Amino acid sequence: MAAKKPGKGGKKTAKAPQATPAADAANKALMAVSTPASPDDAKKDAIFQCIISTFDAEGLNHIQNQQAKVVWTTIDDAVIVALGRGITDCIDSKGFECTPLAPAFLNLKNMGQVTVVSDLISGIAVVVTP
Amino acid sequence: MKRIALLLGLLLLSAYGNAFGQCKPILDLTATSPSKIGFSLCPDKPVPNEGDAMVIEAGGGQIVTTVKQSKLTLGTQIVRAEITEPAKAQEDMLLLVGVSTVTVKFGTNSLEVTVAKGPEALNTSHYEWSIGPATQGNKNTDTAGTTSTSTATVDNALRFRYTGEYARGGFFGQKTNALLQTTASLSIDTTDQSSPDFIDNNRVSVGTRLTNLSFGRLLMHGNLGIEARLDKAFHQDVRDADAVVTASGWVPVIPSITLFSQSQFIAAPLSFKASYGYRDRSQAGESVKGRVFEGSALYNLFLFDRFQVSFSATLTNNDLDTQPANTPKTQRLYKGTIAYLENPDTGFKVLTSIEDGSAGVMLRKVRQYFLGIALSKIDLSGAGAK
Repeated sequence: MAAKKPGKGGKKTAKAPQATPAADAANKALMAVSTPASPDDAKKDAIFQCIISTFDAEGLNHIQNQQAKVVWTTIDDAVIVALGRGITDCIDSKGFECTPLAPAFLNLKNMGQVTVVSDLISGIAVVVTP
Repeated sequence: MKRIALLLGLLLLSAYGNAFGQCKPILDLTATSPSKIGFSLCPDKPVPNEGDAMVIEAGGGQIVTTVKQSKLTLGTQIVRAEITEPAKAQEDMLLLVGVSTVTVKFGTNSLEVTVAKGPEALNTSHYEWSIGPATQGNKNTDTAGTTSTSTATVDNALRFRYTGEYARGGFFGQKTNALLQTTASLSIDTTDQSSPDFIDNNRVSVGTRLTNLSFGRLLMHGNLGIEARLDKAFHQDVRDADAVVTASGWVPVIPSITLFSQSQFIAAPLSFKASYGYRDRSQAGESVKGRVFEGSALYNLFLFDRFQVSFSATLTNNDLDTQPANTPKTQRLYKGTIAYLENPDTGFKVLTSIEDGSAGVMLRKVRQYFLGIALSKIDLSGAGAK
């Protein structure tokens, strides 16, 4: 059994893989349709994390994704106020400034609405600065 | 003719009352930033613009604020106002303690605004009422425990329901405590028919309780207290007077469930109310005494992306001795409600509900249908909270 000869100086040399013209074209096409992460994405991500943690803390279902729908009419008013205050405080603690949300959540219940979490995030983002 | 007149009268009354399904001006404060006040105002009424001066009149004083943000989102105008003199924020906030409504003035406009009450708020009041048709679906007129002769001659009735609660912090206004609350409540659930085959369960109660109790995810938003209550059937000669220990709360380890759907629904988990204590029953001129347990649970299930199915069950068990004949020891009342989600902006609309069994002073088993679709179309219901 023949042993492999080590390279010069006993170190192996590795060649960088060469991009094929097809892969290069695919990368360019992907970059053309992609948008870089914006501050708005960071803000919406912070809002989503705050919604998940506050709903968990108040004893509601764990929100699995942004397509989940909140049925406000099943939730007591005092718990809705706790959700609004919890999410407001959580967003503030992440370096943003959020307008108190409890009144708007109470009105979502008063109007009997069912809110998709992605719409809730977009709606909250409007009153979160910067 | 009498029922049509009653229906028309209630329609007119509802025009003046707080109709369910409507926006109300509400404000809330944040404990972490006391100079910041949040509002949700209704877009069909005047709203302030950013930079406007806004005065809040409450508790005999005034809070002067400036509007820092005013945006239409989540269906209402969300406004953030900040107290103009931050040094006075703590003092100004005291004006809002224990207040249910305030007057907000900006420009030439003036609005009555409700102050939001969180879990820590002990001074609260709320009510809810509805009226609609009920159809009796049970031709079997067995009592909850034994059989009796049928007296039913009517299949349809006009059903009226009301629940209201008034709560104040402390023990009947004497001892104040962050957890102690005294409550008075009224519950009416009856029809315009005197037949015992329709629901007729009415209660007035006074009690004191510890609020906001929590034991991890086993129990949240819990209450534990004592209560004196009086139950009376309007159309039958039965009255119960109880002195009981009460407990209620959410059980988050049993969350609401979504089945056969592409997206998950977020709703309250299993909730319960229970009581145990002493009962004095007066029935047809006779009085009997004993112990009584009453427990009820409510659970929500969501199906096929569009349907909400709510189940509630109430179990009553008593050991009243020497009871009159036909009086049950154990009563069970089940209720199922099916609601349909046509449009998320208008929410679930009740398609129908069915109640089966008996509870409290209803000694005869009933099976009653409630057609909510008519109710939702004419919006003949009301709700309010302070």
